Amino acid sequence: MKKVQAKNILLLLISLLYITNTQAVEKQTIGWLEHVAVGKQRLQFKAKIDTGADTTSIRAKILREFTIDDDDWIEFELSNQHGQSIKLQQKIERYVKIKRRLMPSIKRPVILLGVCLGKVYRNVEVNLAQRKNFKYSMLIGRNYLQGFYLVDSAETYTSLPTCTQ
Amino acid sequence: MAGQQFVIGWREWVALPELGVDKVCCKVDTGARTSALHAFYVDEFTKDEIKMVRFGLHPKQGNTKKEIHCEAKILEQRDVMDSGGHIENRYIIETKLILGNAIWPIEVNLTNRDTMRYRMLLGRTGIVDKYLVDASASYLAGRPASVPTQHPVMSYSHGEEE
Repeated sequence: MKKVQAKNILLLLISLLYITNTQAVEKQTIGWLEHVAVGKQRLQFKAKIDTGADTTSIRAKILREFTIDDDDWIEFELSNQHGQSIKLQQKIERYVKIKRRLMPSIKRPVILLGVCLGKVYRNVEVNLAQRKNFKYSMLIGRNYLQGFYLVDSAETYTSLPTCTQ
Repeated sequence: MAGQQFVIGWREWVALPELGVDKVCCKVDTGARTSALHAFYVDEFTKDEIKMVRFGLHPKQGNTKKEIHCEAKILEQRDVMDSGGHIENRYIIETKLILGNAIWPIEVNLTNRDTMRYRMLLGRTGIVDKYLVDASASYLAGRPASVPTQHPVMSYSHGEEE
């Protein structure tokens, strides 16, 4: 009897914890396309919101790789649809292996990049893609969305990036 | 957006009753326009002058022992761009999808893509308006009902490109 009660109390506590946790952050609902702003310079991009992608990805022109104190760094250029561009230098955090259909998989460098979507500015891991045949130069993956956003696949461009941070 | 909206995870269990699939794990993919099924073969044939496809599915992830052989009417053939940017002409079929307690028809393209982790992708045209996708959650809808009672209405306003 006591065992059952203890189990019930534990279940109650777990569900209470779950409820408080899920209510703690009000998730913002966004569409499958959104305007985002990247880096301190707030370069604006049209991004596709992709719940099917693990990591966020941006099209980049890689300029050079170098080392500082045994760390690998990368210099790259980002260009948006308005022809504006920025050059950035970042430490390479790791590499991701991208599985491709009918082709050998490739490795992409992963760096930390600040991205503003709506009112939230977050530093997340972003992989640098040197691809050209895509309509959107940025894909927002689950590593950016988790805990902050819900995606409505019937909506597009629900907000403008207005981060104050 | 009218009416109550439900949150689903980025992975969900779904059933495709018309194809004899009672349970398959699908990735809910707002980055894809059309839904996709990854078959291990796709063959076209004609039955009573109607163009049909016969295809094989391995419904369990990482398991090639269990096979389901399906037949469906071809709705059309369409160029579809995959996540690697390659355009491929694929068969499109229409079939009913069960998610939780709801059932609705979706368009699905068939691809020979058995090496992919997820046997099915649910794209934007298959995610009906009342669902929001939470990238931090999985399997929120539970097991697909054997007798679903809800019939959400589709709207095909989910963008043109993949």
